[in-house]
Amino acid sequence: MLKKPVTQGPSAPFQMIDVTLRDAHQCLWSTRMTTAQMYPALDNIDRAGYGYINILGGAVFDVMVRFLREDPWKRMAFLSRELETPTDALTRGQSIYTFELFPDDVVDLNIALLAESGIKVLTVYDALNDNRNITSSIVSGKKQGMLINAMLTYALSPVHDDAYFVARAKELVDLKVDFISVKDPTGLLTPERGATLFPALVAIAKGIPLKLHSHCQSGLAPLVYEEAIKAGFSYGYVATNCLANGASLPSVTEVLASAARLGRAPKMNLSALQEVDDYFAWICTRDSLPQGKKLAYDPALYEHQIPGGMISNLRAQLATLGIAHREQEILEETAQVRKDLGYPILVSPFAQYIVTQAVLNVMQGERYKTIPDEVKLYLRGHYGKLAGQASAEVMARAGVEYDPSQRPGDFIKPALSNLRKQWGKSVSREQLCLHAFYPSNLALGLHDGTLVALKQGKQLEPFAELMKYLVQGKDFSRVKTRFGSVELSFSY
Amino acid sequence: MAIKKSPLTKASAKLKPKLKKKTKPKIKPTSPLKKKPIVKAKKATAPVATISMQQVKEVIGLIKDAGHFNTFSYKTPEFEIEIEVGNKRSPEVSSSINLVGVAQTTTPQATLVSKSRSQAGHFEVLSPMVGTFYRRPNPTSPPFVEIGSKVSANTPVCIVEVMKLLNTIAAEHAGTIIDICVTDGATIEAGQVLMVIEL
Repeated sequence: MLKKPVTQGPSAPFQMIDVTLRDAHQCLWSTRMTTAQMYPALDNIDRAGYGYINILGGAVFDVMVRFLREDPWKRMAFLSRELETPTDALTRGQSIYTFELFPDDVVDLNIALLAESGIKVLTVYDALNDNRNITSSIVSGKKQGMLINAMLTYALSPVHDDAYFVARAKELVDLKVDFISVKDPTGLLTPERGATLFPALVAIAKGIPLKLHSHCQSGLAPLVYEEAIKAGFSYGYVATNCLANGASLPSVTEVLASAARLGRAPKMNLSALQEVDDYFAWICTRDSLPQGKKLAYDPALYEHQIPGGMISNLRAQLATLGIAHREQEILEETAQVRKDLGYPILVSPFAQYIVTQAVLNVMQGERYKTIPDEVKLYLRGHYGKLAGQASAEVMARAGVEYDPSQRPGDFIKPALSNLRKQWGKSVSREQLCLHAFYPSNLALGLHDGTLVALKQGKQLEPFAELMKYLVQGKDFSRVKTRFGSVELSFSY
Repeated sequence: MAIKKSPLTKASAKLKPKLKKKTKPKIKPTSPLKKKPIVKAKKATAPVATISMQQVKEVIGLIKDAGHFNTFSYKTPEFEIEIEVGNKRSPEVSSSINLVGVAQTTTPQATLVSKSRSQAGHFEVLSPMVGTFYRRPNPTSPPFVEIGSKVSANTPVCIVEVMKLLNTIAAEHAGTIIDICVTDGATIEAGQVLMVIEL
C-alpha cells in the first residue's frame, strides 16, 4: 500500500518534485527528450531525494506519438521500473492528453494502464477549472489505488479572484483528493498574490498537502515559491538547473536554498543533483539543445498572458501567414477576445482558440465575422463552465446558447466496445488506447525507445560522446582523432 | 588559428534540423558530403587509454572558444584531435537549403489566386484567412455541397482551417452553387474566391 504523505505544515520539509523528464523539456526543447537521453540520468535523479518524479504530461504523450514515434507506454513502465522514487503522471482529465473530450471508458482505461505501468500519483487538471471534467479521472485513479493530485489552473482576470480559487479548492476537498496543486502555466503569479491566495488555500484544504507548479516567464517564480514555503505548502515542482528558468520551472537548488533559509529544507543529495545537472548540460552541448535562461521581469506578459512557448509558436505561425508585422495588434486583440469570451485561461487548447480568433478579428478588420467551430463549442459550454460571462455581441455573432448544465463527458458515447470490434480481441489494451486517441497512421508503428536506451547504456563513453558531438553537422571539413589505439578520421 | 569570434558553428547548426538526436552520421550514398569514417585500429597491445567526460568537455570548450578557425589541434599522450575547416564546404548544402526556404516563402505568392470578380446576381464565398480548404465535414463524409446544390444563408458550404482550428463557412446568401473554385485540401489565400452562388 502507498504511504500517505504526512509531511506538511510550516516546519515540515518542503519537498521537491522533479519535472526535468517532463515539463522542463516540454518548455525548452519542444518536448523532444527521448528515453535514451533520460536513461543515464535516472540513477542520480533517484538518489537526489525528490518526493516525486513527474514523468508524463499531455504534451509528452502526444509528442512521443506524433514526433518521436516512441511508444509512451513502454517509456512509462521503464521509468517507473528504473526509479524507486514514486512517479507522477499528469493528464488533462476528460481530454486526457489531447484537447478533445474522451468518453469515461477511455479515461478509465488510460488510468488503469498508467497504474499498471507503475505510476503512483495521478495528477489531473481541467483548463477551465470545471472540476466535473476531472471527476471520472479521480474515480478511476482511486479505484487503481493511486494518489490523486488535482490542480487548480491559475489565471489573472477580474473573475479569477481568491474567492474563485478557494471555491474550486473546496470542490477538490469534497472530492477527497490527496493533494491540491496550484498550476500557473504562464508564470503569472506574483509574490503579493501568493501572500493572499496561498494562505487562503491552505486554510480551505484542511490538511490536504498543497503543491506549487509555476513557470519562470515573468522571472518571479522563485519569489512565489518562497511565499508558498512560508504559507505552509508541502511540495514544489522544480527542474535541474540547466533546464530550469525561462519558460521552464524554477531550479531545484534555488528553491532548496529558499527552503533552507525559511527552515524547511528537505534532505537532498547535492552531489547527485550536480551530476544530473552536469549530464543534461552535456546533452544540451552534444545535441545542440537550449538550456533555460533567466528572464527579466516582463510587465507585458501580464497583459497578453500568452505562455512563453506559445509566443514563439505564434510568431512562427504569423510569419508563415505573412502577417508577422501585425503581431502587436494581434497581441492587443488577444486581451480583448479573452475578455469577450468570459476570461478563459490562456492554456492549451483555449490559448490557441483565443489567439486564432484574435488573428481572424485583426485580419478581417471586423470582430467575430468568422468564429472557429471550436470557439462556438466553447461558448455553448461544451467543454465546461466558463469562468466569466461571454459578451452578448460574441454570443449573437456565434448564434449559440450557453448551457453548461451537463457534464461535458456525458456528451461523449463510450468508445471501447467499438474499438475492440474494429481492432480485434488480440490487440493489447495499450494499443487499443492509442487507437482511441489517434488515427491508425499515428497509433501504429511506434518504436520501443527503451530498447534504444538500453542499447546505448546508462554510462556515457567519453570518446563516443565526443564523436557524437563532432559528427553532428558542425562546419568541419576534416576531423582526425586518436584515442589510445583507436584512430578515427572523417572528412566531408 | 584565428581567435576571432564568429557565429560559425551557429550558422552551420541552422542548416540542420534541430532537436533531432543523431547517434550516427547520416550517410547519403549520392551526397558529395558523405562522411567517411575511416577507423584504423593500431596494435592491440597499446596501453588502455582513458579520457574522462571532463576532458571531453574541456576539448569542446576549446573548440567553441576558438571561434572561427581553419585548423584546430589538441594533443596529449593518450588523446589527440585535429579539425580542419579549411576546404570550403561544398556549396550545395547551404544553397539547396536556401532554395527550400525561398520556395516556401514564394509559393503562396506564385499561386494563382482567383480574386473577387463579382458579377451581378452572383455571390462569391471568400476565404476569411490564409488556410486550408475542405469540402467535407470530415474525411469520410460526402461534401457539404456540389455544383447545383441549393443553399440558404446559413447552409454550411465548406470548412477553412486556420491555425489548426476549423471554421465552418456558411453560404451567407440563398441560391444555387454554380462554381466551386478550389480543390479539396488546397491551401488558400485570404479573400480568395472559394465558391460562387447564383442568387
